Amino acid sequence: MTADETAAAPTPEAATAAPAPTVHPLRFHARTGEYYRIWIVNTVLTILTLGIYSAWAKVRTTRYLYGSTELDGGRFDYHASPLTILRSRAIAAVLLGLYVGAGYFAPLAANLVFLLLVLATPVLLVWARRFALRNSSYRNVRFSFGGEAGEAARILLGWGLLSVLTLGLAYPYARWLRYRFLVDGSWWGNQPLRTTVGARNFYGAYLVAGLLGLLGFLVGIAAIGFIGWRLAGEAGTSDDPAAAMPQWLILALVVGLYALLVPAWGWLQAALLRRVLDTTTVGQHRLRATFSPAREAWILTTNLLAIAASLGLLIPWAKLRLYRYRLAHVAVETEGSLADAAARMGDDPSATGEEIGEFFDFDFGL
Amino acid sequence: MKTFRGRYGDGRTARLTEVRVEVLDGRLRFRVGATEHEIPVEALTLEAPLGSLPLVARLPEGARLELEPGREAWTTLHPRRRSGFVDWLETHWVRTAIVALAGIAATALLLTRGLPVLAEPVAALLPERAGQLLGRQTLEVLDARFLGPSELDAARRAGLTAAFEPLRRAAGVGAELRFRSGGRFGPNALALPDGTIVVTDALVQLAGDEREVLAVLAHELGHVHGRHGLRAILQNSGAALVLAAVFGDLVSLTSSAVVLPTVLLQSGYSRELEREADAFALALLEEVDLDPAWFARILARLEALGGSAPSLLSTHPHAAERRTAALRAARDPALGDPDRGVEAYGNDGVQP
Repeated sequence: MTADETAAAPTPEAATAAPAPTVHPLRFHARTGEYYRIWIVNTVLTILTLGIYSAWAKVRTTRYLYGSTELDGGRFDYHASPLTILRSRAIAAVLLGLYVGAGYFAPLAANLVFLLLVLATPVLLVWARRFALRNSSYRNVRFSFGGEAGEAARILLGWGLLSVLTLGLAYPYARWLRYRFLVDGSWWGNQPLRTTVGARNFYGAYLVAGLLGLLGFLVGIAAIGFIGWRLAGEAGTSDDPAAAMPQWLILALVVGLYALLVPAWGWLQAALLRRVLDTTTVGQHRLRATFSPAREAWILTTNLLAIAASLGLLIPWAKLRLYRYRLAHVAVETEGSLADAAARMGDDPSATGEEIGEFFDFDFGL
Repeated sequence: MKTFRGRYGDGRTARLTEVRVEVLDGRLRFRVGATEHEIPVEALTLEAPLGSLPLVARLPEGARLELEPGREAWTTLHPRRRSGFVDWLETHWVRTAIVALAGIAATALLLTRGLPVLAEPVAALLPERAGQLLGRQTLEVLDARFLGPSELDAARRAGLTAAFEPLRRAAGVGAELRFRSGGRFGPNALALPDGTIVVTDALVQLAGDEREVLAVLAHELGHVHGRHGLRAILQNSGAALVLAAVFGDLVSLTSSAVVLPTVLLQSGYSRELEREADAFALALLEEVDLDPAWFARILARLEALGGSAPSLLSTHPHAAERRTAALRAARDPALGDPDRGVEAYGNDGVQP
């Protein structure tokens, strides 16, 4: 079913490719019940071990999700060692503790810790990406990441600073550079990943998301004003509407205001990811992403409502719901066979040992 | 002999070959193209089964074999047939449900009993200096955001400070009294981790008698004595970590760094700590020869204010119960009624 949808997607570049490419949709075999049980056991054991089990939980969850994802008969694999993840989490916890503790006792020192963390983000980003890709494989061929920390620093710190100085005008460009850095440095075996996404797309997406967010914000403010005015009318004190509101109502309205920004945020993330994926090539194969940002925003928003209403019990369901939709709308157009492409040059997964990449597993997402 | 559907990848290329795998006499046999593979089961490294995923077997020299159905392949190939405790829990709804219930009970127990028990010795281990820094820090924030200089007349403040001293000495702690105009805090008193006790003007004005204020101060001295400030912070940090374990999937590390301090700042003392401070206060009042009924009296006044102003009550939701406890300890329970008149304090030499 998804294959037809994906195949029917418009392919403007198809005219230039001489032989018709084969479209392989991603297939997602995860079962909600199974994933639910994994999640419950993971969560309980994590609590009972005061967080230590979280490293094993992450490996189990990721293994399950990767192993459930199939492309052209092959499944993805996750190889990370829980002990490595535990080590990096312990370091992260110490850093977080330092930061929070310093915030209590010596705000100046907390700012220093914060500054150091900010300066370290390029290195952390590169390590995290390296760790994530090196420990992922498809068809028994590992992914890897060759991006350099210097380049990451230029993008994250240099362009980050410029974004601040231009009051955010340079921010979409910085995000674009970051996405390109993460994709273009990636490899599947000996096949390089490349994206041709344009910065224009990023500015477009940010503009739409900004307008959506503004709309949500205005609706929220209007609602708060209206409720406050009604309450003040009932209480007979029209001079200060805020005073007439019970505190829980103010809290609920503020939360609601943030909730109105969720669709805009979800739309933006999905729109960026789709543009990037849809313009990415792996060797001579190209990715196709046809998921709708509006639909993803809807899924994300209703997911959050469901999670809040169920006090968190629907988290696994919500997560799979989003994955299922997204993966059903991602496909790979192959020129020739995937196996042939990677087979032309040898790739020994054990030879690409990047020991330092083994050290951190901070999850930045793409 | 058993047979499984398999997919073979040699680890050097991305080629994937569909194979039919036969298992016989502890040996695995399958054909890839023209090559016949025969591998002893002991040479395989099996990945523990997970849900209904195919079983992944690592072969010598980096090759990988995926076997389906995964569960059946595991019981055939693995010598002990056991797939581990965690997998055993995960593969059956009833067992998972028991884990969930046990988890909920354990979490509740951890939050209500475990964390307070853990926080007490840890708070005692923290050096004095930690409390001092923390107290100074908190007062700076409070002064900058919520509190203003006291508008009470100096004589009244001096009188209270003098009356507070014997109370402090009897409590056996280092503490210092500060007066502030409370604004939104209403009639309130706060004990900071360094022993500073902040009293709002509204509280002093609400009290009909200075001895009522002293009763509240005795309660705050209970917080100082029990190092409740540090204990509350430790308990709340622990609670935040437990929440992070549940919602960690959704909330990244960076955002929890932002949320954590807010959670800590906004949550007050637990009921347990309040009860402890109350018990301390009642005993302390006895010791300095003040009737515990004064505590009941000020509590009754605060209760009468109700929810109209944020007050001591907002963080102490069990006012009636506390008042009853104070009345039980009282020598003259009638004093606990704020509508009943009392002899003036301070003029006739009645010193606490």
